[in-house]
Amino acid sequence: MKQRITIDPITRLEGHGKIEVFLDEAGEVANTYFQIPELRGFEVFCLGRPAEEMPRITNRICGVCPEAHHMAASKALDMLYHVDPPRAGKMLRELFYSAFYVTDHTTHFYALGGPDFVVGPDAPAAERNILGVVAKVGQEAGLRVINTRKKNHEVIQIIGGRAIHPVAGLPGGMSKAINEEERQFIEQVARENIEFGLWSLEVFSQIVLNNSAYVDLILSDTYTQRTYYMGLVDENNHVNFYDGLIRVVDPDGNEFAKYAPVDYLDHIAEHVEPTSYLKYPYLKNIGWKGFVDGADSGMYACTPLSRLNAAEGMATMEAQAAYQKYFSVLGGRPVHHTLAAHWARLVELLYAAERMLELATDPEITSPNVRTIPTETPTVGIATVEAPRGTLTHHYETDENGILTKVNLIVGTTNNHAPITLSIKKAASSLIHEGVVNDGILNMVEMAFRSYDPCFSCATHSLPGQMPLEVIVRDAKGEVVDHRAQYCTPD
Amino acid sequence: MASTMRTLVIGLGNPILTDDGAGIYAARAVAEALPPDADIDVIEVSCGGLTLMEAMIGYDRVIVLDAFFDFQEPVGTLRLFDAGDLASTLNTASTHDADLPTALRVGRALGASLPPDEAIQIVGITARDVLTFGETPHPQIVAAIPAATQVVFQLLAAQEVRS
Repeated sequence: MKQRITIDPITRLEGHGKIEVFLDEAGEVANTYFQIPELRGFEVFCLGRPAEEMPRITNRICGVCPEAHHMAASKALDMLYHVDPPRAGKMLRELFYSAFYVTDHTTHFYALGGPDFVVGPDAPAAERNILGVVAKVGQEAGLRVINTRKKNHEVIQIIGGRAIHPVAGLPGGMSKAINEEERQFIEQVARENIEFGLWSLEVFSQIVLNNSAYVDLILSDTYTQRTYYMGLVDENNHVNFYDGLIRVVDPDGNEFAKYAPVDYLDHIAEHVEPTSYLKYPYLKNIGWKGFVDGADSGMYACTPLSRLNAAEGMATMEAQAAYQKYFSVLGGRPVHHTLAAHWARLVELLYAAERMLELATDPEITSPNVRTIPTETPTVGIATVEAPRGTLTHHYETDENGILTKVNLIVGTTNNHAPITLSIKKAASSLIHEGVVNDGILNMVEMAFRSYDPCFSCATHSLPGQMPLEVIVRDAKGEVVDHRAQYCTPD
Repeated sequence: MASTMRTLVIGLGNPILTDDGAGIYAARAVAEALPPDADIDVIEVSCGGLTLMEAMIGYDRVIVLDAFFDFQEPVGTLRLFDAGDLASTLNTASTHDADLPTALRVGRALGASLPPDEAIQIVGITARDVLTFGETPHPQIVAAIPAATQVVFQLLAAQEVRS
């Protein structure tokens, strides 16, 4: 008799991701499936529209990281229109993007990923949220999180033109410059962000690293897999979120590939499985070998953990120190422990804050020269940024009038689709035995994919809430023999 | 008597996801129908959780217009509830954030000036297709906008009587 367990995070509007765990007759895990819904018709929706609309359209497909789509789209338009933005225009974009990174990583650590550690992986579900973090760390944590979000949203609004769905990115640069008064405010926010980043790493150190049970959990085989890792790097092979070359390292940390985003199709192919609408990208030059890790499998990940693995350091002082401590404690580069992504996220938060200060104090940042006007006929535009949850590539092609004839997006969660699937399988196989399933075990399975900060379908959500969890156990006849629900509507 | 109550109307949803733009369209209709000197703010939001909570800070009363996904009801059917009903009536979910009730509790715990649950009223417009990209909502969504707008004005009028 086979049992079927379904972990079904139901959402009202964005569709739902679903984890299905199939047990064998002995109650051990036989197989798992992870399904992500896909919104329909985005390419069709875009074709026939002027390409310059893309920075404003694509930032509407995601309620979580509109800024990442806005940047990828703006950069893709630079190439499409054969135009190179002036230095101040590029710096403004990266400044904007750095402020966004601070808010996004802050939100994930304190509201979503962190509660598993700060409150505890098997704490009651009702306490595993940002309120539980406030109760554990103190009200200061909550005030700092809210204040950090507020201030950086103001920065995003100043540079991006709007607080939530930015509009300032254009082919060739930005639509407006910043003045000295705005610069001073942004500099002050950057300084506060650095303090917040350092403080957050200290919180992580005290609560997680000083707790041997948590360290054991991070280092356990349950949450360990050896894959290739991908991330954007600058000319010194340091992590960069806005621009650079894509660097891929093998499971031993050696450089496997380094290429310009425009060449992505030479390196990435997509595998299709009948169980999922969403494809599984893999390294073309290794090949798809199924849901297995190791150097012979073309599976790669692109998360904060992956970016730190794929780079050789951080470009700013405090972040570099944090990077070194991270690898020192975790046994050197690369780190294969997927839960370490939460720590890597905080290292990146600190880098974003320091980079923000560098840019905000650059003498050229208030230059009015923020845009190069395009004059050439548009053709093809391909660009990549690192979204907080993974490498994000936009690819557009147009006719001679700039009307879109092709649109292809590869978003972070899609890039991570295969490693997330493997992580869930490893966690479920390790944690579920003899058919015993409870809320704590299910949360620990969910933690395996939460560390990726997945964003299903780049869907905008209305009135979103916590991810509900439904578990259905069925016998061989399909009868429900057990049913558990967290956060779900009572029947 | 002039009210000193600060009121916010939020159109929530995604205007390029077919019916999910219902709340946005209704909010635009409310903004157009308001007298020029009305002391009421109308905004569009395509995010939830903490961001949605933060948008409510400083207001005494909030009316949220949102698409509501329900296969049982005909498209365009209106429903009215308040934030206190949320936890037990909606499968609201985010993969990245906190849910609205949690976000509101966080905000209040930290001293943010937020309206009480009963002063956060939600007008749900029953939607059908919220997964296909498109800017043309179901005709019954379009037809429901005037009624949704009317509900908002009734709520606003009730507020004035009470204040």
